[in-house]
Amino acid sequence: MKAISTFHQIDLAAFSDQELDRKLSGEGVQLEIGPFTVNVQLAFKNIRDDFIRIYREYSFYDEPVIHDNYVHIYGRNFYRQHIKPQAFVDVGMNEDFIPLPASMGMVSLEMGLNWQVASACKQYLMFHAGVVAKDGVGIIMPAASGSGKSTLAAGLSYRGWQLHSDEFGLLDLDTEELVPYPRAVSLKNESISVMKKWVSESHDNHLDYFTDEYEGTPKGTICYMRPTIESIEAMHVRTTPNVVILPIFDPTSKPEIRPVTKTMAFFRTVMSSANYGDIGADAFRAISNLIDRSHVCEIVYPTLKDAVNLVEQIVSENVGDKNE
Amino acid sequence: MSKVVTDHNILIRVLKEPVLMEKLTVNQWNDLLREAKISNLAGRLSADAGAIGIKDKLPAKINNLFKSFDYNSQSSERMIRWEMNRVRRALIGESYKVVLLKGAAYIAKDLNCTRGRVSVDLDILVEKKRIDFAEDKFLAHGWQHHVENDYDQKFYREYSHELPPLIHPDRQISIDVHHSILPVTSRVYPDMSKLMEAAVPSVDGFYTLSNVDIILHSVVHLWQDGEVRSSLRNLLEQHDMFEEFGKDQKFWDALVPRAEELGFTRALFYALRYCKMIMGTKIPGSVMEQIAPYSPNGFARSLMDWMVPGVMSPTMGASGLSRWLSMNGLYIRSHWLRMPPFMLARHLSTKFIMRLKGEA
Amino acid sequence: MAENTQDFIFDSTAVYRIPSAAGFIWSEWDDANIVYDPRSGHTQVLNDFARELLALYEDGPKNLNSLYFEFEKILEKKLDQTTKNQILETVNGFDAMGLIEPV
Repeated sequence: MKAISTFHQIDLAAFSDQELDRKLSGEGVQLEIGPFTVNVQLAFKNIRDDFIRIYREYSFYDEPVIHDNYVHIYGRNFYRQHIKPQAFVDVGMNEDFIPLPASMGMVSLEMGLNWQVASACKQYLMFHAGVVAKDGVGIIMPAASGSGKSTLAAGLSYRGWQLHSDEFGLLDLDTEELVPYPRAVSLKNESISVMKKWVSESHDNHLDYFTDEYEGTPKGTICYMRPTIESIEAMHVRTTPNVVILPIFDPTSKPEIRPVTKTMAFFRTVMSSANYGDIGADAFRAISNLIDRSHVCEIVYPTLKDAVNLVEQIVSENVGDKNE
Repeated sequence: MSKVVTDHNILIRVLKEPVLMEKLTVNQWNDLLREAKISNLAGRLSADAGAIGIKDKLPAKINNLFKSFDYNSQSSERMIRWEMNRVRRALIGESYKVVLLKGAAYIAKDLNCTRGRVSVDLDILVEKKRIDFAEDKFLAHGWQHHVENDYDQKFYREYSHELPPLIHPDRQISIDVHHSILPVTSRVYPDMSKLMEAAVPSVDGFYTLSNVDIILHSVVHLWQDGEVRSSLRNLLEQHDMFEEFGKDQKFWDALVPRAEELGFTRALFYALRYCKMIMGTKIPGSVMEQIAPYSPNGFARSLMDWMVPGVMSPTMGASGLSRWLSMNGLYIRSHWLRMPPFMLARHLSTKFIMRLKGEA
Repeated sequence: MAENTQDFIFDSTAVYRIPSAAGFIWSEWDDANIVYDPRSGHTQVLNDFARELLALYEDGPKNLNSLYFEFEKILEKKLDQTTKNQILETVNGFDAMGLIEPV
């Protein structure tokens, strides 16, 4: 198949915050994130405010476009919206979401979109992984929740790496390139203060990059962070992956790079994929090629700074030469 | 009123005439994709576009999405075929007929209606006296019951027409082992030996029902036993089969007499009427005449004409009260037909109580 | 990847073969052999011992005794009971995964 660029010819508009707000509360906006366009309608003012803070630097289509996803957040009726506001989520999939309190802001939007992408996207091989790239080096970090992969990917992106995604790695099955999908980074619990400090060390006005912290969500306290401007601008720049790192966060550990076998890396990558089973033989070949071509290892780290140093070390020792 | 709405439904129009995909506007594509996903027919759109060779005339974005739908329907077919393979392995050496039903039968017979289709279960039929043997074999080969709840287990075993669903822990697909195509408590209960006798050999030692019985099973499942709501996919499969089997005049000759023999005439009346009305299915006039005496009375028929087209797709038809009425009205109707009244009450109230207790 | 929860299903008297439509796809690294079965969509990892046994079925259909016999030729010695049990366990696994089937 041809590259997706054929349908980026429409001019993408830059709306003012007021225009975005009006559209979000009405017919919806068509937000482009990497290969996907999502139609977003938000009936709640506080959710719109969060959305605009995080996504205002993204591209929006000003005319109708075929969208991949849609997420509509709505209240049931006038009274409930004002007395005890509940945010209902419509993603058009015959799936009922348990509504969340509207005070939890973007949580309902992001979870609705996560669910939709995770269950419907099969044209790209999808990894539950942090993915970053720089200068022809593409790193996939497959891991379960709680491994710190989101924080690690986001942390790398605020030190010069292009953020592809903190949890949805996408691979084009024809070209075997990584397809960036830089959504809002979802930070949970302890990682929120870690990231705020991390961003403040390199960026002014760092709190502009974060939403409010939402307590008591199904996953604890959640805060969303905007990807770096550079990552947003590079959302169509693809890289062939050549490093697979299995991250393990352990606050009591000494930072360490551990070898793993190709077979282990293969299975950990397969197990991180939500659609490997549906895609079948093409997915098997793509992951086999990925592991063949990649440097693979495991890292154990007690802090974000240690992890970033380990990743830089792995890249410079193993794949640095390939770019010259 | 609902007929007009149906004519304007983009999904039905495109299913009837896939070449329309070449000319859709962006907004029409968005409506079409939304409807198709909800009705579980997205894969069908891609398959139709491929079948008439128009994919290269469609927007790149659509081909990108079609790729996703294609993987999805291929995956579903692979899972069904593999589960058939595993069933064959488990039942190797058994001498009784094992009849594939529904999606598995369509796949085994390579029917037109399998293109782009997504199925989630494997349904098989064995004689009632064999069902315990079959169950023992499945359990020995690693399948497990996944209805744990005592009430549901009891319901399946006493009143249903199938074993509690079986799932093998290595695979995500459920097998329903039936001994009848309708619950034993149905008022219209077919003589299963007639269907078993007419079953024909198929792939890998399996059997399928005869063509007429295959379609009558789909018909009775939709129009008498199941939920009419959101069942455009089932209507479409009936339309496809009428057109495919109907190329042989013998099929039409046998259809109504067989429905009379099995007691499925009312359901067949509805199927023929609404396939023709909604999908424009080509049905010989003589068949419509043969089935006409089995129409419900004028009032009931008008009510059905008003409700059915509006509930085929969840997004279709009028909104508000009439939609609510038609959705809930039709559900209760089909449930009422399925079981004697006293048991219906018990089943519903038990379910209701369990839901209140948060157990169901 | 399959969790083996079922009874022993391998039929020691039957002749087994690789199904003609199997079309396995392999990836092989230093430490293991990974096979994708396009019919099941399942991915299995085989150590060298298991890989060798499956290769014997790839050569042609055979029953358990002829499998033992071929394996003895490769090892150039009589099989002890422990090895025979390992073989039996492995081919039972093959049967459960559908990599081989009774003729």
